[in-house]
Amino acid sequence: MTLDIETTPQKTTLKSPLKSWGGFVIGMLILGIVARLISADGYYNSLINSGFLFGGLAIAWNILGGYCGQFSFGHAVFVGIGAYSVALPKTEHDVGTIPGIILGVMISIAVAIAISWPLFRLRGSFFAIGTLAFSEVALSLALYFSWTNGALGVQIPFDRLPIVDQKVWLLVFFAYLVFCMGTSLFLIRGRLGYYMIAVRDDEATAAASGINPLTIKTIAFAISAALTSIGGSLFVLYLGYLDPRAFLSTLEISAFIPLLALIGGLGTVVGPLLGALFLEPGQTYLRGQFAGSLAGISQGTVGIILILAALYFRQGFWGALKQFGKWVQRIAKGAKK
Amino acid sequence: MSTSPLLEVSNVTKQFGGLAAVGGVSLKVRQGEIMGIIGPNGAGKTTLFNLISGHLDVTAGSVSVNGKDVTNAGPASRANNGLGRTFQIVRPIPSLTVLENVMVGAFASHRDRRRAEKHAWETLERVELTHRALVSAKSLTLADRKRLEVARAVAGKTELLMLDEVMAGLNPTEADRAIEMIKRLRNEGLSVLFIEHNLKVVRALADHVLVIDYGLPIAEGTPTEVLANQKVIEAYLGAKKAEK
Amino acid sequence: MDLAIVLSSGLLIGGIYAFVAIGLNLIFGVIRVANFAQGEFVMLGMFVTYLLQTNFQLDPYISAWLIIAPLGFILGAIVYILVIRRLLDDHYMQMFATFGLIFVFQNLVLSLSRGEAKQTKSVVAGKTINAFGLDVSIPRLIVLLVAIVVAYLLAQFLKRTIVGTAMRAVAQDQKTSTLMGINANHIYLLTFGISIALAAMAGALLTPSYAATSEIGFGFVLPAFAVVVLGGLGSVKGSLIGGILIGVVEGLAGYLIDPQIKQALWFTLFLIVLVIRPNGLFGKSVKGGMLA
Repeated sequence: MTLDIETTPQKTTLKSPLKSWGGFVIGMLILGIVARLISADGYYNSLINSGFLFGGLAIAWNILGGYCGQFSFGHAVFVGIGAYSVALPKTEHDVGTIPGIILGVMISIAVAIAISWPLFRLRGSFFAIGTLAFSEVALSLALYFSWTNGALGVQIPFDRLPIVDQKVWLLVFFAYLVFCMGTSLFLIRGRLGYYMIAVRDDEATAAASGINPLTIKTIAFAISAALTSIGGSLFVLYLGYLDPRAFLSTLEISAFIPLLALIGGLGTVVGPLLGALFLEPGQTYLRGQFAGSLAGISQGTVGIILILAALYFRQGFWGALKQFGKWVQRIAKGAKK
Repeated sequence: MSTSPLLEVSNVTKQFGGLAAVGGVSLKVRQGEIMGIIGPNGAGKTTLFNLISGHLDVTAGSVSVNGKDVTNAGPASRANNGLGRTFQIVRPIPSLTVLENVMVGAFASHRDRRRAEKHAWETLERVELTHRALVSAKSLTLADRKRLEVARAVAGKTELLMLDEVMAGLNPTEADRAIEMIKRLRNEGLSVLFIEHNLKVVRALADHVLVIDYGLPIAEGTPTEVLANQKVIEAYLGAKKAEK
Repeated sequence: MDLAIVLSSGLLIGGIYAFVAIGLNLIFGVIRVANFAQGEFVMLGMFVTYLLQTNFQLDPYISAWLIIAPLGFILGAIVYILVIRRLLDDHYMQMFATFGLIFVFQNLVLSLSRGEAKQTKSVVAGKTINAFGLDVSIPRLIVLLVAIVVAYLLAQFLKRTIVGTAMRAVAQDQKTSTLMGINANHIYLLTFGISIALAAMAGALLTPSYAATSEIGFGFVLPAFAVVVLGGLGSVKGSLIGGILIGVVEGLAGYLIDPQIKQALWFTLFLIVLVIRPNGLFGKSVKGGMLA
C-alpha cells in the first residue's frame, strides 16, 4: 500500500520547511539590516561584532549542551584550538586564513572524539568537571610549550590580518552566526535532533529504541567543537593577538558561553543568540562605563545574573517570550467570547 | 515462512557472587508466537528479561536474535536486530509529543523525517493512540503511556517485543484493551515475549508458557498444561497449601 | 637532598589542598552539590582575617577559631538558604549558580581591595623549624597539622554523634532518611555551614603564607576537586590522604619534569582517576555516584 508521502498539515508536529526556514531567512535579514544600520556608529559596530561572535559560539555550545544535555564547561579548548591553528601558521609561515580555519576544525573534531569515550561515561556534573579540568590542562600546556610561544601568546603581524575594517568584520561575524544557527536549525529538524533530545531526556529509553547514546553524544560534541573552533579562529583574527589566558580562560570563556545559552534559552535555536546579544554588549558597555573606579562591576553583574537565571529564569528569554505569547493568545481567545 | 526461531536463548546463567539469580535457562520464540514467562516473586524473571534484552551481561550462555549472536551486544544493538522492549516503569520522552516519541522509534527504520513521521502516525493508529498524537507525552495516563511505549518499540525494527509486566497498574477494562491490542499486533506479524503476574492475562494471550522459580525452569507448555502442573502450583502457593 | 625538600614541601602544600578539600568533600558527599565557589570562601576568610589583623591587631591564629569559623558558618547558611536550597535537584543549574557566586565574590573583593594583594602579618610568618635537617615552614606545618586534626575530629563527629550519623544517612540515601524522620533540609544547612566554616578557617590559617588576592580562590578549588575525586567521595580520610598525595605528586612532577607543567600533570592524573576509578581511592560505591 503506497501512500502519498506528504502528511496532511494537522497530522504533523513540525513546522513546515517553509515556515521554519522561511522564518529563519526573514529573521536573519531583519537582524542583518538592523545591525548594519546601528553599526554606522563605530562603537556599536564593535559591540554588535562581539555580540554576533558570541552568539555563534553560544549556539555551537548549545548543540551539545541544550539539545543533547551534556554541559561542557571546557569549550575554551576549542576556541583556543581554532585560534592557535590560524595564528601560529599565519605568523610563522604566512599560511592563509582558510587552511588555518580548516586545520582548527579538524583538530577540534579529533580532540572532541578522543575525549568523548572517557568523559561521556561520567554522570552529569562530573562530565562538566572533567571538561573543566581538560580546559585547564590545555591552558597549562599552552603556557608551557615554546612552540605556542608560551605566556607571551601570538601577535599576528598587522599586514597579515585578512580583514581590518570593522564593517567588513560585521559581515563576517554575521555570516558565522547565520551558519551556526542554520546548522542548529537543520540538526533539530532532522533525525539527529530527535535522537539528541531522546538521549538528553532518558538514555535508557533511547537505547531501547536502538539509539547508541555514546555515538549521538560524540557526534553532537564534534559538531559543537567544530563550530566553536571556527569562532575561535575568527576571534583571533579580529583581535590580532592571542593571549592564552584570555582565549583559554575558564571564567571568561568556558563558563561565560554556557551562561549566554542559559539566559537566552537552552535547547532552542534562537535562544543563545538572544542571550549573547543581551550579555556580551551589555558586559562590554558596563565595563566601559565603570572602568577603574568600580572595576569588576561588569563581571560581578554577570555573576548575579547567572545566579538569578539559574534560580528563577531557566527558560531563558526565548522561553519567556513563548510564555508571553501563549498568555497573549489566551487573552485574545477569552476576549473573543 | 522461516522455521528458525526469532529469539534463541541457550543455557543462560547469571551469577551475582555466589548466588545464581538465573541458572541455566533456555527458550525459543518463533515468528508469530506469543510466549509468556511466569513465576513467583523473586524467581528471576526480570533478571532473565534483562539478560535477554542486553541490560545485564550473562555469566554464561548465549542469546541470538534472528540467527545472529548478540550475547555480547548492548541493548541498542539488540534493538536494531529486532528485539524491542518495554519497561515496568514507563518512561516517555517528556520534552516530545506523543507522535514525536514514536518518531524516535520510527527513525530506526526510516531515516527521512517525513517518512518517519508518517510511519509513526500509522503506528499510532495500530495502537489506537492517534487522538493523543499532538499532546506532550508527559500528560498521558498510565494506560496510554504503556501504549506509547509499545508504539515506540513497534515503530522501529522490532520483530520480537519484550513486554515487562505491561498489565501492572491497569484496571480490568484497560487490561482487556491491552490484550486486544497485543493480539492485533501479533496478527500483523509481531512476536511477543512477556512477563506477567496476572494469570488471566497469561491464559488469554500466551501460546506457550515458561515457568521460572529460583532462577531455574520448572515447567513449560501451553497455559492450560502449565497452570495445572503440580510443581507450578506448589511454587506459587507454597508446598503446604498444595498438600490440601 | 633535593628530593627530600621537594617531598616535604609537597607534603605541606598537600596539607593545604586537603584542608580546602575536606569542606568541599562534605558538601559533595552529603548534599551532592559541586560547589565551585568553595575556593572563594577561602579567599573571603583570608581577607576578613587581614582586616581583623590590620584594624584590631588580631592574630590570624586566634581569629581563625574565634571569629572566622563562626562567620563562615553564618555565610554558608545564608548562601545555602538563598541559593543552594532551591537547586538541590538540578546539577547543571547548581554549577551555573556556583560559578555566579565566584563572579560575585571575586569582583566584590576586587572592587573593595582595588586589586591590591593584602598580606596579613603574623608572628610566625616566614619562620621555619628545622626537622630532619630540613627547613620546614612553620605556618604551612601548622596548616597541615590543623588539617589532620580537623579531619580526625570531623570523622569522629560523623561516626559518633547523632547529627553526624544523620549526615551520613542523608548522604547515603536521602529519601529513606527523610522517611526515618531526619529533616534533610536541616542537615543540608548544617553541612553547608560547617563546610564553609572550614573553608574560611583554612583561609585564615593560610594568611601568613600567602598574600590575599581576589583571584586566589579559584586556584584552590580546582586542586580541591581533584582531591575529592582522587580521595573518594564521602571519605574524610580520603580527602586528607588525597590532598597530601596531590601535593607530593605536584612537587615531584615539578622536580622531575618541569615546575611549569605541574598543574597540567596533576590535572591529567585527576582526569585519569576520574575515568578509571570514579569512586576514588577510598570512596564507597554510593548510590547516585559518579558513573553514568
